[in-house]
Amino acid sequence: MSVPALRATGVHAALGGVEILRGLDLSLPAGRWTSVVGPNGAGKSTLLKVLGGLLPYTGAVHLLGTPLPNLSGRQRARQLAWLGQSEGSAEDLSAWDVVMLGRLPHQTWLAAPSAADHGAVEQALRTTQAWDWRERPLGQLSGGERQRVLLARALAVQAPVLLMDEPLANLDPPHQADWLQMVRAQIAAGRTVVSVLHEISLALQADELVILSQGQVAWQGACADATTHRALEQVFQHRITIHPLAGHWVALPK
Amino acid sequence: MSPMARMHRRAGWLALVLLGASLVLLGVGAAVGATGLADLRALGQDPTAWPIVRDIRLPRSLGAWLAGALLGLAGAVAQGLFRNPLADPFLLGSASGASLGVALALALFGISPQAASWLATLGLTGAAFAGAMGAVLLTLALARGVQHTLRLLLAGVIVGVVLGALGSLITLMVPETLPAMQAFMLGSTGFVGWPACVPMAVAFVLCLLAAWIVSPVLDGLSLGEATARSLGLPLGPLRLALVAVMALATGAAVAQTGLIAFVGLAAPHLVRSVVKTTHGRLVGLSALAGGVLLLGADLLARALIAPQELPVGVLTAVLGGGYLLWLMHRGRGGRVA
Repeated sequence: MSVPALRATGVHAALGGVEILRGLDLSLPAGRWTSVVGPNGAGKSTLLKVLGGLLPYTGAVHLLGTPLPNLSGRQRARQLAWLGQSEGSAEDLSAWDVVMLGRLPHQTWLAAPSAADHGAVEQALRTTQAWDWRERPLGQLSGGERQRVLLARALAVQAPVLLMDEPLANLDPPHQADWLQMVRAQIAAGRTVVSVLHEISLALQADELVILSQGQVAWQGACADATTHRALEQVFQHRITIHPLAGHWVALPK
Repeated sequence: MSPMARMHRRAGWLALVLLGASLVLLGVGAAVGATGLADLRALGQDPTAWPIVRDIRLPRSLGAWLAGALLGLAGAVAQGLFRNPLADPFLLGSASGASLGVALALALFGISPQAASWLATLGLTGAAFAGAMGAVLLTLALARGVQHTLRLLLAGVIVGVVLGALGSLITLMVPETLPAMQAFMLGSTGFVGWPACVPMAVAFVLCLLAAWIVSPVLDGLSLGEATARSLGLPLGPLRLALVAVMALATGAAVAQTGLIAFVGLAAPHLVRSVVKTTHGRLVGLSALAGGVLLLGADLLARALIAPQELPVGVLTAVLGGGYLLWLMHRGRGGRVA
């Protein structure tokens, strides 16, 4: 059996003194796309930050078989890329400079970017169709354009594991479709993608679904399984129903 | 030419313009005095003309440029570190700490003639520097480190208010210190000589080098705390290094020239209004802009009511306040700069 991309055992985490994750156990398979869903306040973003080593926790978290505390910051950053919800604005940095920040874990401190760095940045900007405004400061971009640059920044890390918290924020439907295509390309390249999505119909396009409730995993299973759909309806107190539509699953409010 | 090189060419041009302006202003500062260009014309004949240029005007002009450069650099670091375009190098209580240091020195030693001569030698600089550094350390202690930006800012405000009140209290209790304190609070480059230029130059080189080395963390922080951490940046030690750079630059400038407002705030804004670039370049450009701003203001302060002089701190406050108002007006409905 292959080593899971991420494994959490008995994880507790708190925000502002309030316990958010309560003894959570989770194992996320490598080379798959897993979506994390759950009601507001279930602990989805907190879980992602804990898995990324960005928040203090108790318990154990393993990244590709290695306990997180055993990895240096740079080692962890090379193996795990993280895209958070709109945190900073970086208004004055150009799109190119922002995406180049994704190469920091690979660069020697103060060394000029290598040809490989330039190549990775260009590839990431082209993948997210942000190449045309690479010279424009982030402050001059729309919300959707900015989100594509930030996504390119995460892709430029070229890490085997990619964590994304609400990556579709501000993206219009065509660019949401592009994002789905990009995720599938990452999976085809052998990478692992973990995303937190509040849009359940989009989350159901993943390979695996993790349903969080009150800081614990209420269910984990394949998105296509009927049992997963029933678990989803139950966690959302039967206020949604899952229906098949054109080869996909959609969640509709009751 | 790579996109990066093309984007940063504009920053290179701005650096050249600012360097050229610095040299021109230094030349004007050394040449022009209360009697206009008379001393310069008399260089060949009058034996007192050269010492005036060499020992008074040149160090004063260079000192004004260095103090402005230190404040501009500190401003760029503060605004990047606190992710706030209105952040000022006098945050973390350094200005109030410097004032308290000067007030204490004047009250404890400044009244006796012996102490006055000692103080005249040191120019109160040690007291101001120690006060600024002490205030920053107190702020860091209250904020329990530099990890939490908001806590750090709040601690800086509290330390600033409390130390400022203590300084005022000392001035009230020892009224003899009032004139000297007033001169310090107004800010002046009038007493800057070569001995004052040396520590400022050393501090400037150290701070510029350190800020440039640590500048990637400012770029990372502009994307948010968690993203910067996810990039593997050791935020704790690097943030501490940036706070030390800010305190040293501010303390070194304040110690020699008193409280000079708005240069640290305005210099990075001026640069950003011309060029958007990484913090590595922004820090250097802001230092150049700060030097040009303060030296230009110093020349104005010397010329406006010649042969009398305005305290340069008053002029920077008036000009800087006007500039901020203009920014607010221009930025209505948008960000400041």
